[in-house]
Amino acid sequence: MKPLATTQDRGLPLEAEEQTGMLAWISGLNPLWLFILPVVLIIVGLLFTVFWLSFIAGLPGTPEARWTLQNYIKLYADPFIVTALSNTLAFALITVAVSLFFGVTIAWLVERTDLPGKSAIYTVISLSLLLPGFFLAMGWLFLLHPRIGMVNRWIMAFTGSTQATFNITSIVGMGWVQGLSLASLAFILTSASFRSMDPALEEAATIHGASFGQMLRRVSLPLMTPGILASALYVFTIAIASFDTPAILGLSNRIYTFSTFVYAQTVTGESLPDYGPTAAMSALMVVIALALSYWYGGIIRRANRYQVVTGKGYRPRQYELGRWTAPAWIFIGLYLLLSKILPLFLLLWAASLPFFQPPSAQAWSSMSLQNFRNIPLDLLARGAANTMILMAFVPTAALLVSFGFSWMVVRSRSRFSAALDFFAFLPHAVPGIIFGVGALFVALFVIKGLPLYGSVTLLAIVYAVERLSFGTRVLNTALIQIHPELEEAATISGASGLRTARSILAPLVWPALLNGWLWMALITYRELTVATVLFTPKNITLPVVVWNIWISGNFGVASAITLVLLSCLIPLILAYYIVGKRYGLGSRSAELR
Amino acid sequence: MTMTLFALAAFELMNVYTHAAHVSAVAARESTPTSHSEEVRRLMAAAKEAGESALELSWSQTLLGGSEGARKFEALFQRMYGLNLKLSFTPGPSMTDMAGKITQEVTAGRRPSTDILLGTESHFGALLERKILEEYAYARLSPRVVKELVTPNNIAVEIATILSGITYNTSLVRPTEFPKRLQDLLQPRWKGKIASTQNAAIFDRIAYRPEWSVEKITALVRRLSEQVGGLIRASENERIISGEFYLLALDGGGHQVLRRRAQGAPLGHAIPEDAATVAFLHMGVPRYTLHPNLAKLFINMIVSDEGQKVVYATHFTDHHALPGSQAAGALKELTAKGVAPLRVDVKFVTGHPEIGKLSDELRHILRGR
Repeated sequence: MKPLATTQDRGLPLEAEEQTGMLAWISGLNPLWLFILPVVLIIVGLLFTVFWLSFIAGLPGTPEARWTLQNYIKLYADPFIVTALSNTLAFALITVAVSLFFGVTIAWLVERTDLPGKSAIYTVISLSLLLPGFFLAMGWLFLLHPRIGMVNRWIMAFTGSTQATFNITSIVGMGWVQGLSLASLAFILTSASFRSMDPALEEAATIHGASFGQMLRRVSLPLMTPGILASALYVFTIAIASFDTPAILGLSNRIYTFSTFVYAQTVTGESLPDYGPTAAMSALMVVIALALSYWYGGIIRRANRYQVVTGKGYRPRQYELGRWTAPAWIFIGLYLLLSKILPLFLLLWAASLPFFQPPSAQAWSSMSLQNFRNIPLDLLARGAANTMILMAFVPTAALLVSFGFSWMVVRSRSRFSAALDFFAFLPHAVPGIIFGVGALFVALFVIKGLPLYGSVTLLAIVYAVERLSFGTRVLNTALIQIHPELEEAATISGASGLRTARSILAPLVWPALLNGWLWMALITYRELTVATVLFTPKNITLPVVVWNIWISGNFGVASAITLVLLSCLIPLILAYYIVGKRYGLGSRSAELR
Repeated sequence: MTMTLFALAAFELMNVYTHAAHVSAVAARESTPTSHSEEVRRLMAAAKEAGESALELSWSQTLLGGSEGARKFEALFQRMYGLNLKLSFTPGPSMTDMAGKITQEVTAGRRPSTDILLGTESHFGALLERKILEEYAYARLSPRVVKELVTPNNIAVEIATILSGITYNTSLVRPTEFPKRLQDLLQPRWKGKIASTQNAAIFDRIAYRPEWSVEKITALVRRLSEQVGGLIRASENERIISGEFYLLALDGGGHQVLRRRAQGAPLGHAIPEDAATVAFLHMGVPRYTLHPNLAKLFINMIVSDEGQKVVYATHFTDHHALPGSQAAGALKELTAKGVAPLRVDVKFVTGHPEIGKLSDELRHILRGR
């Protein structure tokens, strides 16, 4: 074997050789790095900012700001943090259990059975993303609160008991409500893995005499486990950071979770927010997020061990529901009633009343359209303009960048593939508020020369980074399913790279891209956490308009605005329905790989 | 220490009355509503010269009527000054969040999110020495802006009175049952039915009333914590209307109850005789704003006779010490019962630097540690 040439062998001066080597290395770099590197830098930069903030006492940027360990001492010396963290863990686990129970069951019914009306189910479940979570929490408060819950009152009247049967303001209650809210996400995420299952193994089990139960336990479940686990992780990270349900239900019984505890930490006796303890708490969450991302990577590697996608055309076996069709629809209907119809009804109810109150004859008599008349239209127009810009830009940018990541992860043999996939998942594992706080301080104090603070552009950048995780899941799946042989065949036949991309790759990836784009546009529409942290009058978005009006106690006007917006979004929902019907529902876009 | 606090509190208590009487007398004597002062004319000219034609305001939707109130103030501004002002209002977060936001923006040398900061004595007390707000001799604006309304360092003006107390559901709490003193909240009948706020609002101030001390109020809040069912925002009185909680102790002011009662809500407000305080809503102009002249004219308008009427119409309170005040009645009613409220202003907050620590302690107790 010929040894590698050394600098001395070729008689080049060492410095010149180093430069040549560097140039060669740079010229040999995949141009996709131009997309990838800035994003990696943004992610690292924002997380670093949060760590930096955690060591600052006083308001950063003010003269009194100084280095300190007090934030960590204040936070971790407080025994209450153990309570808050154990509450968070229990709440997140119950949320995962509830969301998987509904989400996975409905996904299985839709993907693996001959249940009619699948596109409609996808559309209705997507629609639910547009309903603010706090309405669901308020609705359940009126149903199962120990004192005012109607169900509890009925049970007490019927049994003569003086004790309420249910308590929605408990950790279990909070988990139930949050789980219902996130079940639609679990549905979308797991349905994809059901869809891509090769029927051969199940057929083999059936041929060998396995009963339906045995086949489900020994073949189907092991095949589905990685997808379900990955979905559980996805839901778990959202539950940890969720604020509205713990704030409405938890605090009404003084149960603190991560988000409400962090919020409480920012309130000080001095009446100015203190971000130090928040950053210290966030630093812990970043460490947890890193561990989760690593674990997630492990799940995906195990998922690949089960991977049976071969490139040949197949469809998973569809089971005939027969007499179980009606119970299946009742189950789905029950879920829709509890998680979608109830909050919609409450929106209508709250929007019609001068103040929020339980149903009564007096309430009926005070119903009017006054809240709709009180909608601040100029503000709504401003919020709508910003939101539309974001809905157009964020999915497009996120998918472009995601393509760079996915291509490097799936198609290149780069030694950084695993690291890139890790970075791509990180924005999901890290709670959005952490990115928001990081971006706020970077825009205010670090990049002072750029007019980013308070702009829609800043929101767009942070949103796009946040969506990277989703975008790469969409494109990883799409690219895995396209065998490289197709591109190689085109190249051998003389097609240029551009033509191969246009004629082979684009048509195959298009449905997933379109579906992913629409899905991201919906998520962008309802994004609240980052928008609240980075809010200024110039970049206000529709969810912030609703939230700011809601927290000031104007439930009626906030509900009226939400209803108006839902009506305006019908075209987008119809587009989602049509795309779903034409290209095979929405599942392919969201597969977890 | 308790004796010293007692003496201080008694002194501050007397101040409420002497202050109010002085403000009313001076303002009534010197008020000339039909003509503008020289300083106002100068500001109008300066605004015109600087090309200021818009005001960008942002505060919680619950304050001064939010978006609807902004329209009324815009109309009044145009009428009062003959300037074609365009007022752009954006509902913002809580006063604390807004004060923090403005502090960061100004510190970073950015344009603030609002041309006028609205906040209580807590917020303006915290901002007193931070050079976040423009120092301006507000007393030059009008005879109504007497120096007693202006904070130390001339950073803001008091614009409305806040009388905090207990909000209760009139369908669930009978007048005979109503807590007359804070101790009454500890009765077993209220267990689990009381809501409080996350920031333990007002309890820290009450410590400086003659009946209380830091030690006594801490002990009370510790026992009250056993009674508290949950924590809500002061603006969430819908949760009292619904019956989720019977009482909110202590609340963000009786004006919030009046607003709901005007809509027919079954809400009542009462001030326990040992918990009466008089606090204030303030307005100040942040540094680096694009419209400093219009902002000051706006504040002048708010303190004017007509402005105070709109403040009352939108916020259900005004400044009790200004002539023609409608909120003064509530204070008179209180004093007629022999209750002497403690004046809590920026001077009070800055005069008690230890109050932040007490507030933190009370907050921790109420969260149920």
